[in-house]
Amino acid sequence: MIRIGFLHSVMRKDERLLLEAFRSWPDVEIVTVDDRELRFCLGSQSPLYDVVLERCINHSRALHSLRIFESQGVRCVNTSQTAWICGDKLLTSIVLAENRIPQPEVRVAFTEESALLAIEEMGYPVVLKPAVGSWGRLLAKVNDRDAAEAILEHKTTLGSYHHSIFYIQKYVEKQGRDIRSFVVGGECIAAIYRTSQHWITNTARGGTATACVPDAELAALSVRAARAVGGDIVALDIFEGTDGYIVNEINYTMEFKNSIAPTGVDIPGRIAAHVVRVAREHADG
Amino acid sequence: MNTSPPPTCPVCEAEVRLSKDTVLSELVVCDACSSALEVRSLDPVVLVEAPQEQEDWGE
Repeated sequence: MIRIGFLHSVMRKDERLLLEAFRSWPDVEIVTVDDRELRFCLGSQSPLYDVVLERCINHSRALHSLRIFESQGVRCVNTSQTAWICGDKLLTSIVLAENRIPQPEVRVAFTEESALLAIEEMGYPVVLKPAVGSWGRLLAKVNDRDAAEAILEHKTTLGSYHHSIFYIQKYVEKQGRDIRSFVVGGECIAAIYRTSQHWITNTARGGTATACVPDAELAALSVRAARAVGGDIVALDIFEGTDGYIVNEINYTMEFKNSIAPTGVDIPGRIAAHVVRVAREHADG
Repeated sequence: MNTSPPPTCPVCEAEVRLSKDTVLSELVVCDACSSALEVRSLDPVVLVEAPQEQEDWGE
């Protein structure tokens, strides 16, 4: 019997679909682990699971829980290293740059003054993003110097310290849509277009999902980027640039419920199959 | 036979119908007031307001 720890917060539809998918394996025991009830005693616990599948909503809880499970010898999907990189847009951009994977121009600064200089050097418009955050929260498209000065001052004055790690991305004109591709176990299994009249196309912000058949270039780029961050199961946000695809972000606790119908791909089934495969490999040593 | 009263929404006190396969920690929405609720216990069913979104929530 393979024992899989299912690390979660609240159970959303995505988690429900995953739990249903795991029922296809009679030799798999799923143990749900609510991150709000976890109490770790460092250095004293033997592994309770063959694999932990991470499905937390809080990045901070996911990252630290994964690292502790790994210290106990548990194989985690995704790993804490992947969570560390993908949970921080700045770290993701560094890894993408190191691996020569195309991404929008990014500059980083730590003071209002240097951030303003960086923005002026890049030229408007730019997008200011919190390094840690998701679902399109607190993104600011900055069209001119007046807006830049105001937003930088607000972030410095009202935000906690990490809002003064200024992650500045050159705005990419998306023509109303971007692509989300899904990579599971080193394979690009599906992709969707996310379309919105707003420049933020996240489905969490009202973007609509339609099928996108990944071509060879998109699939290869998705797999290469997933490999760069060590991702077992990741979803990539990709722009269609004038010179080819550009990786915008990589998500390590991907949401997929709105992508099953448009793509016709059993995404939770593919995730469950991969996790079981990893668990068997880990159990076999 | 389960004779416990049907669960009610902690916000508007309307009855909330749950499907038979509801799981612990599941998010549900109250039909009456649209509040997001979380199932914190299944036996007996206890519904609480769903946690508020935090800064590090996401994918």
